[in-house]
Amino acid sequence: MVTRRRFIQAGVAGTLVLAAAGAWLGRRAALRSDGWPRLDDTARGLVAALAPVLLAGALPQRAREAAIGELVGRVEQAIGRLGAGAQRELLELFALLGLAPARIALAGVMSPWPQADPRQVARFLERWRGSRLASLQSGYHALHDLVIGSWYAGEQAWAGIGYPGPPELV
Amino acid sequence: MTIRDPWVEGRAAGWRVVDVSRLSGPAHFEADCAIVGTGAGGAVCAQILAEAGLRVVLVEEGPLESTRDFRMREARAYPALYQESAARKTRDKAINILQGRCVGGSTTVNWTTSFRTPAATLKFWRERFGLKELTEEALAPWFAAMERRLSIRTWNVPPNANNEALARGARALGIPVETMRRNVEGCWNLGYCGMGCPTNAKRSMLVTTLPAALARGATLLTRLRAQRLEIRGDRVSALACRAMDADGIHASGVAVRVVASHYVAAAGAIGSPALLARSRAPDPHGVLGTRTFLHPTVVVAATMPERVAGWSGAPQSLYSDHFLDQYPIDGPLGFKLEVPPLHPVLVATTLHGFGDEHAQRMREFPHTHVLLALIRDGFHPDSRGGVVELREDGTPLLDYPLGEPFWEAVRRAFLAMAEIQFAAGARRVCPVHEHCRGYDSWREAKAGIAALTMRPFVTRVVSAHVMGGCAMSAEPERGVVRADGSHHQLANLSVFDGSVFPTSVGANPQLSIYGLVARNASRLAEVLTGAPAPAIG
Repeated sequence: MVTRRRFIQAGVAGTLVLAAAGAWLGRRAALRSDGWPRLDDTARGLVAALAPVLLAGALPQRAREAAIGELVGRVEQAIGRLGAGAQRELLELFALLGLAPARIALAGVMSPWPQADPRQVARFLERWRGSRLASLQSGYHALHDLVIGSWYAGEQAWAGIGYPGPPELV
Repeated sequence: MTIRDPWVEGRAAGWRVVDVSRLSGPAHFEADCAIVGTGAGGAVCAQILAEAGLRVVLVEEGPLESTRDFRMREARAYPALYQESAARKTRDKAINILQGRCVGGSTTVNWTTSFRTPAATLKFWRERFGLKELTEEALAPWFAAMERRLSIRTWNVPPNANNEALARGARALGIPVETMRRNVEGCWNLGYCGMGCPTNAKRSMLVTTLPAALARGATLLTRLRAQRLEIRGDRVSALACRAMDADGIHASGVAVRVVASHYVAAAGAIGSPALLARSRAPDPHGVLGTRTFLHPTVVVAATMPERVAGWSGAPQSLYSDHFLDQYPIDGPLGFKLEVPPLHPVLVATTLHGFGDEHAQRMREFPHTHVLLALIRDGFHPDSRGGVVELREDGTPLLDYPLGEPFWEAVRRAFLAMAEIQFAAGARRVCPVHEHCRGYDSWREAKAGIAALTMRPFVTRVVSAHVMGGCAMSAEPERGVVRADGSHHQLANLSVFDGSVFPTSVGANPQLSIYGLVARNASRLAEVLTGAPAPAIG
């Protein structure tokens, strides 16, 4: 079991050691010929693992997997519309969290993302949310806004929150 | 019924509008005046110069979207119309900035709030920055002219329930609340101003000054990024630009040069200092990009017993300046209370927490009432704002540290908003703060807020008003431009936008920009033509 103190120590060291790897991987991902960022399978697995935790209580029970799959696509699109600097940083973050050592040391998630225990994912998000390190806090906020924002941007989320959608102009 | 789209009609009538991202080869334009930016500053300037008979070229990085494109959907509007998809962040990412990036700039997406520059702000600028000519009396005719031009008047329609809650709570506590003035004509009271007005009721630049300038022969180049001003001696000799890619994010398309007698930077308070920095414009006193202000804003959400439906009806139709005037202007930071529109993405990304806690807050969306406190930065000696820097690729990045005077004001603002919301009948009140799970009574809130840790990320901070970075001042030691917007070192360059304010405005800035630019662009027209400038019609 990773204690909080050990986790924080690993976090500081891990940030330093792994940032370079993340930057390199992120740059490689960002260098696609059409300039439009695509998430690789690991990153898609990460988003698909985050969604049921960030959106617990909001995602539908019925056709849940399909909803998550669609949401992953919308997250990818949303990243493609951010500024160049933010795109680069997010792809670096995804690349970093896709590395097993970083996933374990920085996030405390033992299994690969598609098999990740939702309780471990929730603890990871809580730790980053409560961290004193700006890089982890901003990482949490980026994931929060991307996944939650992409969900509520979609019409299928609106009935659950009593939003009727925009009016018809007649 | 069919709503007319002035851009469809205007282009059919021969307006010169070029989407430069579609050009296949380099292009060259000549003009009497090249204007970078089509927001509150650039567009007012364009109308005045074009009506004075000058040839004007406008350069806009964002797309042209108009009436028929505005579908009141966040998923479409934010990526299309806002800087960085409405997720522009400060360097440490602790502040989210809403700023327009489209034809019309932030005026296309703002919430129509219209204030003249407060007298106390002008007084501070006269005393501390030597801007002796900026008196209320001297500016009044320019504000009045722009108020007529943009139909700015008091909004006397009953407020929506979200704004009504501010009035009710404040009244119960003896706190004065005023009715907003808005730049609308025949407003349908829909509540979607932030996604582009689908009925043309908002008198933004898109339906007023820009059509007037284009009708007088101005040329509008869209999806074109102004990279740098070429400088020879004390003059700008050309404006070098790059077309945006199809994605609208990277400027890697064809090269475009604009050669003009005079140049106007009106790219907003992050864009203009960045353009000057990329151009290596003379900055002998190291002031360029400094003192950039945000009215950093904090948020308190409340659950009301009644249905609020904050997505519907005009946003920000009431306000209170009670907490702006409690202390001297350079003392503890004052704040202005306003009531934003509530839409799913804006609310969901602003509210803290995740999982069941967040989902529960979202289920209460129809009963959610939200107050904002816009904190007045730039007056207190330790409130020095941020600095606009350049990334490696030349795009701007604002470094804005949040200091102790700010956090002290946040606590007062949380307390003030929570008390008003409980007085309005709120069942539960929750400042947007990572440690806060909500309070059931004013008594509980008072103790809880007093104990909250205030620091970046933990306290959610947002901004929709970027000001400063090319400050006006009488002496070159303290500013980039003079009171008339002319650059202290470069003879044929003016800055006409919110970047010239030497502090924050202390009020939503659009009318401050309109009035000051109307005055300064009229003076420029006189200099360039040698004849009196035409009246603003």
